[in-house]
Amino acid sequence: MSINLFFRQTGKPKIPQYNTLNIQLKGYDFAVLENYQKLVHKIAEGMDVEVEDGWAVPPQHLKVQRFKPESTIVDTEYTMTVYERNVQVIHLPSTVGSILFEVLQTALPEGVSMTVHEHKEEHEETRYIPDAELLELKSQLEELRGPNVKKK
Amino acid sequence: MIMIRVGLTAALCRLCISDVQSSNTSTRLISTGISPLFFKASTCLYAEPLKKKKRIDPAILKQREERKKKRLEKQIRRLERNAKQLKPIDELEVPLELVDGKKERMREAAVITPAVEEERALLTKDWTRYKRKQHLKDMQMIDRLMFAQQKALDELRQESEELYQAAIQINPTLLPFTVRGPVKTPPIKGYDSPDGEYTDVSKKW
Repeated sequence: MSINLFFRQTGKPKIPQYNTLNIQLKGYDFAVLENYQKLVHKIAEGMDVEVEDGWAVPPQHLKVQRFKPESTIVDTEYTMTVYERNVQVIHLPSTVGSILFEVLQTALPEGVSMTVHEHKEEHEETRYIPDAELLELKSQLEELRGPNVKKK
Repeated sequence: MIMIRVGLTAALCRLCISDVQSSNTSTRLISTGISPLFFKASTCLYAEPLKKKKRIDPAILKQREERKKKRLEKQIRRLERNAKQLKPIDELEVPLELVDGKKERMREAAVITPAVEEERALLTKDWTRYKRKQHLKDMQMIDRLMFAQQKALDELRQESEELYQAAIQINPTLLPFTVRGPVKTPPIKGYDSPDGEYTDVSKKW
């Protein structure tokens, strides 16, 4: 922890930082998942990594159908839910990042998978309910603008 | 005089003037009674004046379109200003059956004797001590890792600046990456996995 401070004080060239990253955790048991999210947050804070945000996303319900051998007759059918939690991390230096990913990987509990990707706008949008009115108005605006643009 | 004439001509505009050259007379014949009748009657307008299509100034047209655009943009801005609603998360919602049956299910809090309370407090303290030690061990391990990394980078720097700079760079092929946690049982040898299908039936917004 103090190593990074030493680095900054001596004014040596900075280590390149990742863009805003989303650590996406998916699992079948949300109690374990939430606990793991807490652990991710704690580890990141302990490594002096800025944790910006942490949120949950509605789960994905999967209908699993098992077929009888060599036919499409449904043998059994059951539903599985895949829960999701996210942790957003900013200003992550590349050196710290490598260690963080390894530590998080070793600490992964049973049945939980972790995906690390850059944060994009669509990730933010999927959290919100799309406003039907807003979409309608926007499409109307597009129509008004559309013929004008085409004329040009 | 002119006015009268105009009125007359307007009234009799559909009048037929035919040049009939008969043997008897060589005069012109003006009549409205010749068949087919040359009077033309339009549909009953009930005294509604005819609408004449005026040529709208293109500038005014543009103005109207601009005004519509501005109104739409204003409405969009107003809607966007209101905080967007987050999607509700199923596992965090209280099931309605519990909310409805709250009165039935509600119980009075049990009486906790001081002895039990003390035992619980001591247990909590033991647990916090254990968890703190665990966390401390984890952080110490991470510190060792980071120190070792730093030492290696310093040595590399002394060796060659170029390699150090290359080592520091972000690996573009790294992200995005996915890792899966361990599984409870190892894979079964010779397992013939059955055919099946996964369909996503989550609620679509």
